[in-house]
Amino acid sequence: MLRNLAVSTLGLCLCVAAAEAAVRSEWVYATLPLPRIHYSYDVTNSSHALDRLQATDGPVDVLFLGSSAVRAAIMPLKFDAAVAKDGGPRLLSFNGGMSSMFPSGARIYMEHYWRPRVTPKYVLHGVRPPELYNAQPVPQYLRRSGVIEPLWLSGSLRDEVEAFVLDHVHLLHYRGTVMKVLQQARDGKRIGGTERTTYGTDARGFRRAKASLARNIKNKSKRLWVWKRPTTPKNFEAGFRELERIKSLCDAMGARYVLVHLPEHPKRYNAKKNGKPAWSLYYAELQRWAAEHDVPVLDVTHGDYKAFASTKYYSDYHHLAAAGADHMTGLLATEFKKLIAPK
Amino acid sequence: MNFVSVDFAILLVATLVIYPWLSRERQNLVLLCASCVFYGYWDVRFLALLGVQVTLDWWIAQRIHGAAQAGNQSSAKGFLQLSLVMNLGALAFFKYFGFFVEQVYVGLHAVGVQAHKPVLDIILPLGISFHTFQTLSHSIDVHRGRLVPSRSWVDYAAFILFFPQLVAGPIERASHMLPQYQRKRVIRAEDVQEGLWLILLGYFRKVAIADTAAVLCEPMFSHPEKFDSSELVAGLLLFTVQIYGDFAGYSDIARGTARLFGFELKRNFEHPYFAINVSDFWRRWHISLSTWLRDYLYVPLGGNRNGTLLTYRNLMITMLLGGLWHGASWNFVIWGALHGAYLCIHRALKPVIDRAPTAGLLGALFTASGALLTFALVAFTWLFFRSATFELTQAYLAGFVRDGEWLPRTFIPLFVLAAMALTIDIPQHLTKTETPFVRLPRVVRLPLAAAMITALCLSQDSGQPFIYFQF
Repeated sequence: MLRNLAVSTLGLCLCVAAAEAAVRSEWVYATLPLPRIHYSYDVTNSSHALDRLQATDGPVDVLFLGSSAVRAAIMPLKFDAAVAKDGGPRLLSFNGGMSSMFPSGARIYMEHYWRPRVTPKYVLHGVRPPELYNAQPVPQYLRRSGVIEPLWLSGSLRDEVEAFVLDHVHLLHYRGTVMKVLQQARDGKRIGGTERTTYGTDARGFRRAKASLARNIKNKSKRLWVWKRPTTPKNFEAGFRELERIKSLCDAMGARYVLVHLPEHPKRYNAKKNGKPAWSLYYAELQRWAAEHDVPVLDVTHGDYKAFASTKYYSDYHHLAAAGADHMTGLLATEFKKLIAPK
Repeated sequence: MNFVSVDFAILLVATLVIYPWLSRERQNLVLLCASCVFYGYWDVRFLALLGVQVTLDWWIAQRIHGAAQAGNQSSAKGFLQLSLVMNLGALAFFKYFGFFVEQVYVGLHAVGVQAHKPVLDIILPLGISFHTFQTLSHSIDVHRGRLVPSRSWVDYAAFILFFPQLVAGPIERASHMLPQYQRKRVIRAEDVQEGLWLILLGYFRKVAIADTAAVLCEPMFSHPEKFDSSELVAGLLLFTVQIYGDFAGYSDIARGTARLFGFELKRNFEHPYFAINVSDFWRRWHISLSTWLRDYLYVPLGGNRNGTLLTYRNLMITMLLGGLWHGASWNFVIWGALHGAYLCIHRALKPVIDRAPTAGLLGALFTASGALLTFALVAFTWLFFRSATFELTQAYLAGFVRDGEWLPRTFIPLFVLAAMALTIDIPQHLTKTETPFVRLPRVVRLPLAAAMITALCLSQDSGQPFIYFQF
C-alpha cells in the first residue's frame, strides 16, 4: 500500500510540476489573461520584465524605486548608455516605479518584493513633496487590491508561508483565469484582455506617459491639481521615517541608498498662499534629512523648482512625457556619474 | 470551518495521522474532538448548544428503549414526544421564528392593526437542519424498535457530530452509522485511494465548476432588470450547474473524507440531471433528505395507501415541508409547491407514460424528451430557490419575456462548465461507480488528477461558502 501511494504521489507531483513549468512558459504568459497577485498589473508586468532581464543580462546594478512618476521619468536603457559613455562603468539598471508607490508602500515592497529578487549596488529612490507629505503607515490600496500584500502585512507565520507559496507557485498566480476567459468569451472580448498593453512597460520597466500636458489641460484632468495645503516640517516626519527604514534595508542588502528629487511642473506650486512655501519647506527638509543620514540627493533642478518647466516635458504636473523623461534621464546620469566617480 | 480552507486541511491531516493507530474507543474520541474543533471554530456557543442537544437525545433514546423493553409503551411514546418537541422546537426557534414574526406583523398590518415588530436577530446554528433530522430519525427508529441505542455517549456524539457530514449532510441514519462506530476502523488501500479521488472530484465540482458559475450568474440574480432574456436564461442554467456542483461537491468531499476514516456514508447524488421524470429526479437528488422525508413524513402520512386524492395531499405536504426545511421564505415554499405539483402531475400521467415505448429509436426519443423536460422543469424551480427575495423572482420572471438579442456567446460559459461537470458524470454513469478513474491505468489516472488540480488552481478563489451550509 505504501509503495503504491508513494509511486502515485511522486507521479502526481511530476504531473503538477509539468503544469507549473507550462504556466511559466512565455507562450502561456502571452496567451492567457495577465495573472495578478499584487495590488496592480504594474507589478505583474514589472516582475516579468525583471525576470527576463536578469535571466539574460545578469543581476541588476541600479534599481529605481518609487511611484509612477519614477516609472515615467527614467529610461534605464538611456541611463546605462549615458553612464557608460566616455569610459564610465557599464551598469544594468531597472526602473521599478509602480503606481502609487509612496514611501510606505515602497518600504513594504523593498522588504517583501525587491529584497528577494534583486541585489543592486545602488537604489535610487525618486521622491516629490506630495509623496512625503503625511505618508500613510500602510497604504489602503495594498490591503484592498492585493492578494499577497495583506499576507505580507499580517505578520503571522501562517500568512508568511502562504505568501511564500503564492509568490513561488506560478499556477496560483493564474487563479481566476478560467472565469476571466469565460467572461471574455461571453462578452465577445479578445481572450487575454488589455492589461498587457495598458500596464505594459519596456524591457527595463520604463513606461512612456501617453497623454501630453496640453491634452490633459484641455480635458481638465484631475491630475492637474494645485498644492494649497498649509505645510509644516511635521507633515514630512512619517515620510522620512519610511525613508530611514528603506535605507536600513538597502544597507542590509549592501546597496547604496540614493534619493532622487523628481521635478514637477511649477504650476503645481502656483497657489498664492501655500504653494511655493510648501515646496521650499519640503526641499529644505529633504536636504536636512539627507545630510543627517548621509544619503546623497540627486537633483537635476539644483534647487530651482522652475528649472524643469517646459510644457513639452510633461504629461501632467508630475508625470514626465517622453521628451521630459529623455531629458531627465540624461541629466540624472550625469549627476549619478559625479556621485560614483572616485574622489 | 470551511472545507475549502487551510484550517480544514490542517485539522484533517492532524486527525488522520493519529487515527489509524488507535483503539476503537479512542478512534471515536479523537473523531469527537476533531468534530468539536471543526464546529466550535465557527461559534463555540453553538457547540455548547449542540452538546446539550446531543446529550439529551442520547439520554431520551436510552429511556425510550428502556420503557419499550419494559413494555411501557406510553412512557416510550412520552419520551419520543419529548425528543420531537425538543428537536423541532430548537429548529422552529432558530430557523422559523423570525419568519413567523414577520408574517404575523404583515398580517396585522394588512388588517389595519399597528403593531411593533420585535427586534430579535437570531443567528442560525450551522447545519441545524441536518443534525436535527439525524437525531430525530434516531429517536424515531429506537421507538419503532428498529434500533438499539448505543450505550456509549461518545459513540453517539461522534456519530451526530461527525465533522465531514455535520453541517451539510448526507443526513445519515443511526442504523447505518452506529454499527460502523462499534467496530475498529482499519484503513485499507482502496479506502484511501477512493477517498482521495472523491475529495478531488468534490473540490473540482465545488471550486472549478460551482464557484465559477456562482460568480458568473450572481449579477443576473442581483439585478435581473439589467439583463435581457438570453442572459437571464443563461444565468438560471448556470445556477442549475452551480447548485449541483456545490452540493454534490460537498457530498463528495464529505464521503471521501469519511472513507479516509474508514466510514461509508450514504450516496447523496446519482446524476440527478439525467433523471427522466421528476420522481426519478428525487430518487437522485439529495437522496438522504428525500428518503428521510419519505420514511418519516410521507409514509406516516399514509403515503399512497389511501387513494389518489390523499396521495396527492401527502405529496404536496411532504414537498412543501421539504421546501420549508431549506429555509423560512416564501421562495422555498413555492419551490417545494412546484416540486409537489410536478410529482402529482407525474403520478396522474403515469398510466399514459407507462404505455409509451421503451425500446428502439422511439423509446430513446421518448426517454430523451422526458429527461429534457425534467431538466427544464427542475431548472425553472431553481429560480425560486436562488432569488434572495420574492420581488427579485418576479423581476427575473418578467425579464424572461423582455426583448433582446439572443447571442450564442452568452451561453459559452454554460457549455464549458456543463462539459466539465459531464466529464465526471458520464464516466460515473456509464461505469455505475463513483470513482471510475481509480480503475484507469496510472499513466492516464495521474495526468487526469494533475489536470484537475491545475483546474482548481486556475479557478476563481471566490471564498464562497457551500450553499447548503446556510440550511
